[in-house]
Parts: sequence; C-alpha cells; structure tokens
Amino acid sequence: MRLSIVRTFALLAAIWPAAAAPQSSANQSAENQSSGESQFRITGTVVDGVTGVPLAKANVFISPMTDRSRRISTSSAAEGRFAFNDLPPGKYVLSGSAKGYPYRMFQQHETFSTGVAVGKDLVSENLVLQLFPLGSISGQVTDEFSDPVRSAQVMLLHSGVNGQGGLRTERQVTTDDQGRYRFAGLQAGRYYIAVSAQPWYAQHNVQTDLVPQSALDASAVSRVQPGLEQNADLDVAYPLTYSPRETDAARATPIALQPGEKATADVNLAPVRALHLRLTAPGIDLSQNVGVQLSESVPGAPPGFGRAQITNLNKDYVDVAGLLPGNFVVNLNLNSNAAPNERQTLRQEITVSRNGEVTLAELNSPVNVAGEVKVSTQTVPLERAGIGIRNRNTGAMFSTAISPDGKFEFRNAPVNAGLYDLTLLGAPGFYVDHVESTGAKTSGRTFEIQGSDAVNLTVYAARGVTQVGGVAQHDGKPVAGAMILLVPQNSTGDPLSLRRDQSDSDGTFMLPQVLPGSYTVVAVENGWDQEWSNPAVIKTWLGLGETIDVSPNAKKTVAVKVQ
Amino acid sequence: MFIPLLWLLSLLIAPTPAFAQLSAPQFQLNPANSSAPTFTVQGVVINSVTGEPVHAALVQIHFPRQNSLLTAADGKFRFEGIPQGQINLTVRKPGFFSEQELRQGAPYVDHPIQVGPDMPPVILKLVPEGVIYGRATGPDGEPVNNVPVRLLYGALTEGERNWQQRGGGQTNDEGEFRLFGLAPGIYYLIAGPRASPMPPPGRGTDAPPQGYGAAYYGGSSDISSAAPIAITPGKQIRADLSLPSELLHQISGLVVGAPAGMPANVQLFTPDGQAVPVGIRTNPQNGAFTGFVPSGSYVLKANVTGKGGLVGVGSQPLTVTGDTAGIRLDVGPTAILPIAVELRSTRNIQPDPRLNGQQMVSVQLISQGSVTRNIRSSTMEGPPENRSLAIRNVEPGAYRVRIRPFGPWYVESARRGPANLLTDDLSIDAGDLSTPLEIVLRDDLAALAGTVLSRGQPTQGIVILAPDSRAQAPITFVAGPVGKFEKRDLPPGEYRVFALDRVDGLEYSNPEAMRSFSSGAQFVRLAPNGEAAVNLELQTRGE
Repeated sequence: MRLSIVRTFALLAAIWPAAAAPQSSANQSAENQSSGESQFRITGTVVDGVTGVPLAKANVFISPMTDRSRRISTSSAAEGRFAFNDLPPGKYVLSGSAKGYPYRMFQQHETFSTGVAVGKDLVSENLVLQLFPLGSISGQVTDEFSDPVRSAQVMLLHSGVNGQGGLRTERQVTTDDQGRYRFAGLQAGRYYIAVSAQPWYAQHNVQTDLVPQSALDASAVSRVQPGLEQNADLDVAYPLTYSPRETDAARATPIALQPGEKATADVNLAPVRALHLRLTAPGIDLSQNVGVQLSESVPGAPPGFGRAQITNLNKDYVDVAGLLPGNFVVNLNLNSNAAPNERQTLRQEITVSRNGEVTLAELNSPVNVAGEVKVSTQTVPLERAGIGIRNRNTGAMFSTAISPDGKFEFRNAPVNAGLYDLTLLGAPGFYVDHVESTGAKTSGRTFEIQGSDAVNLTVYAARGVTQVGGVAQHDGKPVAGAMILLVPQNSTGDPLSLRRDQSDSDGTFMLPQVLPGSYTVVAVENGWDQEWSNPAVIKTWLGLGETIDVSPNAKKTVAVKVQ
Repeated sequence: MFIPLLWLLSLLIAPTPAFAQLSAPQFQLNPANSSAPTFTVQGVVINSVTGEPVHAALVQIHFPRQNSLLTAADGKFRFEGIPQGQINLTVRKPGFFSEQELRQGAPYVDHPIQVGPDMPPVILKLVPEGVIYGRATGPDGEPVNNVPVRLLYGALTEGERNWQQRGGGQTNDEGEFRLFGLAPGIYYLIAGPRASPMPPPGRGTDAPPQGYGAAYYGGSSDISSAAPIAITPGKQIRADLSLPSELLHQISGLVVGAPAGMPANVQLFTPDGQAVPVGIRTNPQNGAFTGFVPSGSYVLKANVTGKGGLVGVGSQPLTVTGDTAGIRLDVGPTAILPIAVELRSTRNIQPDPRLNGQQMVSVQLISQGSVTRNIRSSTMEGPPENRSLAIRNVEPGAYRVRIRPFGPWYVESARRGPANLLTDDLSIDAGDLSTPLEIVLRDDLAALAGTVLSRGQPTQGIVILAPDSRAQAPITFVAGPVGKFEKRDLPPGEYRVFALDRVDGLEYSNPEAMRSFSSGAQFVRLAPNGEAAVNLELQTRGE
C-alpha cells in the first residue's frame, strides 16, 4: 500500500518532537464498536531497527486504510509492547515515532509500507515495528590556505534514487563564516557531499589570447576602462569538489550513512586556472538586453550551473571568464526584457577544454504549445484538471491548467523541440487516449515538436481508468512487503511510466488509476534497493511476471509469483 | 548559472575612486614601455585588533592597471615597477572589514600613499568582523529548531542612527544559530515566534497547537527592556535565547477589495513595525487568509502587487487573545500624498519647463514613534504629459519630512495646511491625503569660508554644519590639506559648525551626541546671498 502524504507526517514528526507526548493506552478509543465484528487485534513490539532494542514510550498509531484521518494512538509499554484491541476487520496503516526516532510506517520503503490486514485467519499479532534514528552529515570547507570558505554551496547528493543508481541533489546549504555546513535529519543511505565555490579573490579580467594586450592598452587610455589585471595567478576557479578533495565525480567516495550516525565530511578546495570563452552570434547585436546562461553537465552528477563572469560585452561578442573545462549548454537569451514567449534563445552544447571562441548559431525560440481536451469527441469540463508534458530526452516537465472550456496553453514556458509525453493531471477517472496535432507528429500519448512553429494539440481523453489489484505469493502463500512493479509494454525505463506498490501483510496490493493498456506485473522481494527502473534489470524480472490487458473501467485482479 | 549584467556595471564603477585621485600626468603613464623610474611598494596587512599579520589578504592597486596579490604567510606584500605618484591601495579578506567599508559613507580624511624614493613600508589594517552565536531553547531546556533569528542594527546614515532589521536565518536542528559579518555597533537579537499551522501528530484537532513566542536577548519580549549587544571589532559573543512556550491561536479572515486576479500578500507586523515571521496563507482565488500566531498585539497588512508594482494596500491593528475568525482586511488603492513645489528665483534662473518644477527636489517621509523607521520617498506620478511629484502609499501616522533640493536651491518653507514641516512632524490621519505638501525653493544661497586649526596651525579636518531646521540633513565636508575651506551654495539659516578629526560611528545628526563637542563649536547665521567666515578649532575623538 502507498501513502502519498507520508512526507507530511514525517515533517510533522520532525517539527513537533516535544509535542508528540506519550499518551496512555487507556485513551485509545476503540472504534466502530457497534458491530459484533470488532474482535480482532493488532499487537507487536516497537524496536530500534539497528540494535533491535525494544523502545518503550514510543507513540504507535493505526488508521483504517479507507480513512486515514481517523487515527488511534497508543504508547508502547515496557519491552516496547503495544496492542490495539477490538478492531473491526480491514486494512490498517501501522506507524510510530519515539524520542530521537522519526515517524515511520510499518516496513516502510520510500513512501510505501506494508498495510496490516486484520480479519479471520489473518496474522496481525506480534508485529515488529522498526524505528530508525536519524543521522547527520556536517563538516567544514577550507581553501588552499586552510582558511574557511564562507558562502560555499554545499550539495547533499543522494545516490540510488528513481531506481537507476543516479544522483539527486537532496538539499543544498551555504557555509557559514567558519566554512561549516550541516545536514541533519538524514535517513540512512549513500550520500555524496559536493561543494561549488569561487575563490573569493579571483580576478578574471586578465590578458588572454582572446584579449590581446595591445587592444586593451589602447582602450584603457582612450575609454577609461578599468585596468587589466596584471596578476594572472589570480585567474582561477574551484572545480566542483567532492569530499574530501575529489574533483572527478566518478572517483568520489560515497558516505554510507548508518541510521543515527553523525558523520563528518570536510572538503578542501584547490584552485585551477580558469578558462575564457568569447561568444559570438553573427548578425545579432549582443549589447542589447542579452542574458547568458551556462549550465554545466557533469556525468553522474545532477545538472549544475557553471560559475562564470562576463568580463566584456559589446555588440559583436560576449566574453565569459572563470570557467573550468567541462561540457556546457550555452543559452544566450535575447531581448530578455520581452514577454517570455517572445524571447529568443541561442542554444548550443559545447565542450570547453581551453580558451576559445564559440559562434552561436542554433536559434531556439520557445514553441507555443496550446490545444484543447475532448472527452469522446465532446468537450467536457474537467474541473481543476491540468495537462502535463515531459520531454523524454531532457526530462524537462511543464504543466498548465485546463480552462473551463477545455482549452489549455503553455504560456511563459520555454517548451523547445523534442519528444514529449502528455498526461492528464488532477482528473481522477480520466485518462489520455491519444493526441492529435497540427504542427507536431503524434503517436499515442506522445507528440514531437520539430520546428519552432506553434503546436496545436487535440487531446482525446476518456473516462475509465482502472485499478489493478492482486496478491503476491510464494509457493501459494502470501508474501508481505514485496515490491510490486507494473511495467507497461515496451517500457522505456522512464520512472514516471512505472507504477509501484508494496504488498500488505496478507500479500495483497492495489494500484489505482491505471491507464488502459498492456502491462506485466512483477513482485520482487527486497526489490527496493535494486535499480527497478533500469530496463536491463526489469528484463530479468519480466519472465516471472504476469502479463495483463487492462481495458477501460475494468478492475483487474492478478496473482503474482514473488521472485 | 545566470550571469547578471550588473556584474559588468559594478566592475566599471568600483574603481572610480582610484581614477578620481589621479592627476593628469600619471594618467598618461604607460610603464610597459616607459623609461620613467619605477619603485617597489611593500608593506604588511595586519589585524587591527590583535596587530597580527593577516595571510592571504587581497591587496590591490587599481590604476593604471589593476595589480592584485595575496599576502604571504607573514602578511607581507610587495609590488614591483610602480611609477612615482599617488596610489590607492585597497585590501580585503572574508571575515574582515576594510576601514573604508566601516565608514558607512561618512566623510573622512584621506591619507594617500605617495610612491617615490625612500618610501616607508605601508601598513594596511583589516578590521575583524563580529559574530553573535548561541542556542535557542524552550522552557524545558529543549533546543528549538527552525526558529527565525534576526538582528536589529543601529546603522548610521548621514550621522543619524536608523534601526534596521537584518535577517539572520534560522536555528538548526540543535537550536543553534550563528550571525556573522557584523560591523561594530549596537545590536538587538530577537528570535521567534515559531508557529506552525499544522497540529502535531497524536493530538486531536480540537487541541490548540503549541508554539514558541518571540523573545529578545535578555529574556524580554519588548525591545525597551531588551539587552543590547555591543559588537566591537572582532568580538564573538555567545547569546543564548530562552523562548517561552505559547499556545498558538488561529487567525483567519478575508481580504476585501483587492482587484480581480491580483492575489494579496498578508503579513503580520509588531506595532513598532517589525515583520513577524509567521506564515500567513492566502487563497489567491478568494482572498481568504489563515495563520497561527501567539497572543499579542499586531498590525495585519495586505499588499496587492500588480504589473506596475504595488496597486493596493490594507492595514489593520489586531489583538490576539484567542482564535480569531472573520477578520475583514479592507484593501484600497495606494494613497498618494501630492507635493507642490514652487520655485522663487532671485537670480532669474529658469528651470527647464519640461521638469515642471517638480523634479527639483526629493522628499522623504520618515516614520516616527517606532524603533525601526519606515521611509517613503517621493516619486513622479501621473501620465507622461502631466507628471507631478507625490509620495505613494502613505499610512496614517507621524513623520519627519526630509527635503533635498537638486541643484542650487534650498527649502525656504515646507508646509502642509497649517503645519510648518521645518520645525514640526507631519501628521497624517486616515483618509486625509488630499491636502498637498507645499514646498517653496529659493536660490539666494549663502557661502561660508574658514580654516580648521589645531593649536593655532591650519590642519585637515571634517567640518560639520548642523542646521537648525529638522527638514535639512547636516552638511559635512573635508577641509583640504591646509585646513582652508570655502563652501558655496549653502542654504541660509542658523548652523552650529564643528571640526572633527573623524566622524565614523558618530551620530552627528543627533544634538545629544554632539553635546560633548559643543564647547568647540561656532554658531553661524547665514543670510540669503550672505557670506560668513569662521575659524574652527579641530576637536579630536581619538582612536
């Protein structure tokens, strides 16, 4: 079962540690006692998930899965024991928290947990509710003089997210005057600490092969420009540095944070000579309302921004200094004072390894995408619904609201050429059947923008998404806590197209809001730590899966072998 | 990364002081191919408090070319090949202020460096910054995390202390905070309140949420009894805060009168004008707002921002003793106080008729009666063909009016109705904004000549002319190297005239602060078109 609001609860637990006072088990209100069916129990022990030590005075909660706002709480007694008596049959979300232990659901993985099924012949007693203490990573950033680096951007990268072993920037903080940073409240996991900073003393206005000394001497006298920096040793930059002093992302050492661990990760920065680029764009006056954006792509790291400065700008060229070798996407935004959809962008991917000149030629202005939504050829108002599109290559996502007359438009959004998947947002019960378009090639729920002409879409939606339920079994016996993965036919490995759930204590699972189509359902024990969206990994699972065809409005039930 | 074009601007602007001090011959010098003699400039950078050398400090000469270096481990620096003449050396390093930065724009007596034969080593001082750090705890000694911490800082502008709120961030998970980069001065530290709109888990929705109230350092909830923190250079002070536990009350209501499609932003302030950092959520569709706040007296304000800036405001006092629903916060168009300017030229100066006489002056209203001052400045309003001067968004209250004419003009009179704003505060009542502020400017300016003396010998010094009129800021200038000065274009009137060796950190707009120098002050009355002369004895304030 999945709880989408689990993050809210976790946040609450973090904010209100003192307020979550233990409550005596006497005030637990048995609900729905009018029924004679109220004869079942949920019992168990709260333990520290690392040491196994029982936790007394922990808060333990259950809520019926059908109405999570009704919450019954109790407090664990000696040896961590807890009991909820006189429960009607049904499925319950079991969770708990204790001092120093954040809120956690029963067998929680990411936002999923094992629901506790209560009823005749179902096991809901002697459960072990594991809670894990939170950890922290803190440290100090220093420079080549062993001085603290203040205002450095410290990124906490979490490894193994989205089932592909990729990195995600979990949080970002800046260092204080002592160069110190701190990330607290961390779950156990593999993390990297990466630091982006500029030498505070850097001077990039130096003579280079792009800027001949003679030209500057003349201009300095005639136009009273600031002097050219004489000390080229200060024309330096810090590369993105992983703790403790690794600049190659591939060789960075992860921090394997254990539950409750307070880890230290200092970072020492070393400057390297910075590079200079001259950007030209024939036929365009660059001195008028031009904005330059350089985003750096580092393999294995989330996209970041290169730190650079404009040192010279006139109608013919823009000089950018302070760069380090790497791969960049240059976006030259023209008439940046204009409305977003009238702006023009020159975009170019470049590899920078030495000083040089880059001619920007590729004109890339945002494409105006608009359209209307039809349900079975009629326009049906979809209240508070929206349209979301996602670029398959870049992962860029945009969303917009559908107006009461069924129209939508991506205003102020830099939608560029590319292949997009389209989905309906906030319209339960509806799904996108297919998309038709003038100005773009379409196929099923995707469309491809090729030029810069406006794209008009007609989205054919249909009523009747369905749900896929079932039971995860091994040798005919239900398996609790298995990862359930719903893989569409011809999966591209896009994590957004894959659906997951966790089997409950009776082995059952339920995926609501499934779009009609062909799928394979797989159940994997301990699948949570694997690269579940890696197509190669998925392929190894498909053989033991169950293939199903989901037609509109049907409820599908399937028994899956656990692998 | 987005490269702001401003960067370029700052690059162009920053070195101008260096240009200004150069004389023409040096300007032409090109040491690269000149046979003119050059010299070595060497020295050391020291910590102004400890006297210890500062390593890796950036020392820069900005002209004719920029020449920068980092000091060695012993704090020493050495520039070779510097032509003879006057240079300007700057120094900086994170964690320190340069002496220029700490002057806060106050005038100063400059001591330029003369490059030439037998020049002594240069000593450059860096002033270490102050730090206030500590921990916020609740009544049971528990650390309070995520609580906003901020400072009130008494900054000096034009010799006048203005209390400014300075953001400090939030406490971390252990309740700790650290506020750095503090210039010497007086600070008040305040933390809280910390309100959360969500009830904690395990509580029924009927139980009122618990939060933390605000507290100043020293345990007070009120600035008048709070303990000020004096930061001197390099001082690192531990200041722990103890926050009271308080019930939070839900306030909710409706913003009424905001233009369609323009969501209002609702904020809470203390009666003395400080923003209270609690989140008030506003529904942009219908203007409903809600938030959780501790008991107390507040002012609730709504701002509606449209394309061209602020288009609507609303403000209303609010006393919270329990849950308060159904608050109606009316938003009206921003009130505009018109300003009429009359020019009386005795020299037959005809101002550019396109200016309509209006752009000859800048007017500021400075709110009175609260710790932090709200300052509203005049802007040009109305259609392009009929521009006129006005002050937008004036809230009811008492204000001091400060008027700065541009060009050779002075304020002869400033009135609103019967009130003489050269001597009295401007009082604005609710709904009373049609009466214009009437300013008369004249151009029969006066002149003052004089000499600054120290034990009978002419000397450099900073001259302060403290006017009688409240609408006029003190006039300060540096009397040149031989102590002589001749200042023209002075507004006629009565002045106390002082000569001091330095004015940094001095509240010279405040007659109280100048009392200790009054024995050496001269009283001067300048008549229209008049001239006067004074000899001033230099008064020294010491280090």
